[in-house]
Amino acid sequence: MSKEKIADHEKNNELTEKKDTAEIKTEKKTKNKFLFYTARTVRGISFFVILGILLTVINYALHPKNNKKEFGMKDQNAHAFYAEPENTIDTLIIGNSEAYSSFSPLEMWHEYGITSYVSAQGAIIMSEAYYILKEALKTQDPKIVIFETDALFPHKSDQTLRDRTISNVIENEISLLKYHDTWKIQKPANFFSPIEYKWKSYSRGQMDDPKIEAYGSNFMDISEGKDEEYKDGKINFWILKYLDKFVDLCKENNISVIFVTIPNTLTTSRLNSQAVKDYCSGKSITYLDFSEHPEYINIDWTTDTRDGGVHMNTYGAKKVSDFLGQYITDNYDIPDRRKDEKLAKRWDSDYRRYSNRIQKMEKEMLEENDMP
Amino acid sequence: MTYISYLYFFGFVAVVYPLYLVCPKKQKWMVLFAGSCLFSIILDGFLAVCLLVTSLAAFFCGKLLTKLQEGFNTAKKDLSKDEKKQLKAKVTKKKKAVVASGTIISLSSLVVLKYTGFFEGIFNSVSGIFGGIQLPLITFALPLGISYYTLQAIGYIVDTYRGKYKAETNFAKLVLFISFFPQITEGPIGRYDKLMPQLVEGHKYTNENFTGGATLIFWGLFKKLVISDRASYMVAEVFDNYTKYGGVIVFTATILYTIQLYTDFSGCIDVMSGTARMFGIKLESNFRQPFFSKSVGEFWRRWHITLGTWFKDYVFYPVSLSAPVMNLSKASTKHMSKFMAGVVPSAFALFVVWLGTGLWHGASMKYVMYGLYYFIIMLIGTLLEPVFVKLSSKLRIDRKGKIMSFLAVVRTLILVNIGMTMFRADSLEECGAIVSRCFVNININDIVYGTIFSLGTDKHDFLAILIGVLIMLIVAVMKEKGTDVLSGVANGKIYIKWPVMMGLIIAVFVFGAYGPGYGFVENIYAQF
Repeated sequence: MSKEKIADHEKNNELTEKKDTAEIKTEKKTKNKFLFYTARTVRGISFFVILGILLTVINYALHPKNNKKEFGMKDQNAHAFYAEPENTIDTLIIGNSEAYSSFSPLEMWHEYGITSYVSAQGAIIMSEAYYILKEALKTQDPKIVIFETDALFPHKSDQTLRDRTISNVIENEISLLKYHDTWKIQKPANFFSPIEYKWKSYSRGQMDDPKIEAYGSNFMDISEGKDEEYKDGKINFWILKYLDKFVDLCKENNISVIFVTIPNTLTTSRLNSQAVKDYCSGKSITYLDFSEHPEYINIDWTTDTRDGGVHMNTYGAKKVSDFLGQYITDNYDIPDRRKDEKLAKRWDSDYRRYSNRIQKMEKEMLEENDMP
Repeated sequence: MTYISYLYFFGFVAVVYPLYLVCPKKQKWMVLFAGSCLFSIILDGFLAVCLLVTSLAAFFCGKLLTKLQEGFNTAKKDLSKDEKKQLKAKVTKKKKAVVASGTIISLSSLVVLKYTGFFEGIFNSVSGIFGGIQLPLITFALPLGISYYTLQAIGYIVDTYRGKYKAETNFAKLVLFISFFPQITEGPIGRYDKLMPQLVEGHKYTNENFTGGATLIFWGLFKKLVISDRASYMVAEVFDNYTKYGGVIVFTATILYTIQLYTDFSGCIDVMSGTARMFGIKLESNFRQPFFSKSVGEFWRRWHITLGTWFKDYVFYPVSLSAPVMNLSKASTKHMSKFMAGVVPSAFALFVVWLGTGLWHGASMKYVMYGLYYFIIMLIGTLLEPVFVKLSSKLRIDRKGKIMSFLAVVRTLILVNIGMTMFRADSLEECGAIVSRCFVNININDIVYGTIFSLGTDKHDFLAILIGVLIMLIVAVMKEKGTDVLSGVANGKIYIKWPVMMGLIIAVFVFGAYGPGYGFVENIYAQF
């Protein structure tokens, strides 16, 4: 081989070697890059897994261990259905303060043997109502859901309703966000105690107040309340969205829905009632509008309200419940639960407590009135 | 939509951020543009209209100014010295007219919406003295962020006038600069030359940006939700009913308000800066450990920095170099001592700055006095400086020594606390009453028997605030000494980064004042 050829050969070899080294380097680089990204992904996932585990443990520690306010439960009256024996509530009543003032489950029990529960909270918005229903369906199998419609027209701006709905939905889906502040009231010793929702509302969610603060002078027809705003018959987007979900959830569970409008001196509105009527007719929902048909319940505004016509007292609630009890008995296939001895014992004892309490308060009120 | 809301994080950032990451580099700015427009519209439809007007004014004025300058630069090449001078004067005159009209148009919506009632009030007071007519008071709902983006737009117009940079040729990009969503409602007030290149650069995802941004967001949430909002409940109760409470409670409330304001404002800025950082954009710093300041002047160089520098660049310098102040300066040099000749013209310019700063915060005499309060303190400080120098040299006091520095910090804290009380009180009289109330009915039983814990901020809240403030103090001391703990954590080793980040996230989730039972506390500086 000539010197030139040898040189060429060596050069070629050198080039091939160089090429090989470059390829190895690229290969190594690709491998390194792959390893780098894999390691980074694994690291990222590990971070969120560990954080998730920690937050789950903290979530349990901070979750109320009983369904009472003292344990951190929000709106305990609306959530005392947890303590009822499973599948014993046949009628669930949901709404805002109009609902917890206007319906008396114990009266409906006493007169008609209907087991009902008022799961209501003041100034409720529709997503809250939806989550209450969803929660109740975990332990109860109601045949009827009664919804008081004042909650469809909250006195809040569209923006507030949007923000409140979003917060409410997220906080219901991630319970730590709802109960995170129980560190203020829970004893560290209870952090890992079992969760036992035992607290029972003897009135089944009703605010049983016999106080009388009259409005007007007789059986007045309140077809239009005093408030000027939020009476244009418009249902807010977010309210409507969760109202649809609420109704759909009832339908999925074969629950009959009854919408009820209780009249009051502030928010009662013909336009709002018409909007509810339109909604109900579109969805084939029964609608009982007592503001349009006050004769159904014969409310005497001199005796049946506890705060000058805004909310019913126990006398007003009794009238509403009497009508509804009869209506349900006549139109729905609901069993008379008084035949169930065990259940009857529980409900009768609470009815006695309820009527004794009212009698005691009536006596106190009479004594107060007799005072010089 | 407010920054501290689920909607902002889960409904807005969670959509815009992934879109930004997947978008091609050259189009990434469009995601920010669309996001910012959407954010402004969700925030307030009227704000979007005002923004558009200001953006149009800034865009066309900027373009015209650059055109005039470039026309002059081309024409001057063939001109003699005198002709050049003549043309320059002519062009400058035109440029001045453009910058003035641009500033007036940008300011008009702010002035009309924010100050109509205030000026009517002044008119009615003067007119009342002479038995003249009384105007019906008109107040408008102020669109969020108007006080911030207006200054940003004016800064841009003035800078193009000064030839600091060429005007933006793409209208959408200028709109993005003026309305960039993380800074629209509370600042920091950005500068075009620093912010614009970052906005259009199109950043890739990096771990550093994501971790650094997220750390800053949670740090801001910690300040706002754990400290500020918990303090706000007692502050509201005591400031609204101060006559009901004794010195211990009122004094505590004034301190709590200073803490609330700082953690609310700086916390929100941190959340915003953190959001921007995730997109690879670094916003201007708005705070630099302000409570370590040794004088009120230093405090304002460390507090709301972007507002201070804006006033320095666009009010202080133009006023100082204006003909009347230059004449004043000449007259002072002629008739006064060297010291006073230096003080008088700058005092005049500073007076305008502080009057403007006060008015920027709100359209009322309270805010005017708030600005002038700091002006007077600084003026007194400047005038007495020679006396202090003499006194300390005679008494052989080392003014830069540790003890004197500490005392200077305490003195500044007291003065700032009074300023903050003025800021929170409804009027100047009320501020006086609250400050004097701090020294009346001092009863330690307010703490012993727990009255202080029954005013909306309970003992658990106080504990959370105390621990929160201590953590902030440690971070601030370290930053003052040159160690940025937050950056250190974000870029540090895993065994430091993970526990600290997880601790921060858990602290926000568990100890934050949010959710059922907690009222929403609006960001204080978003209301200006």
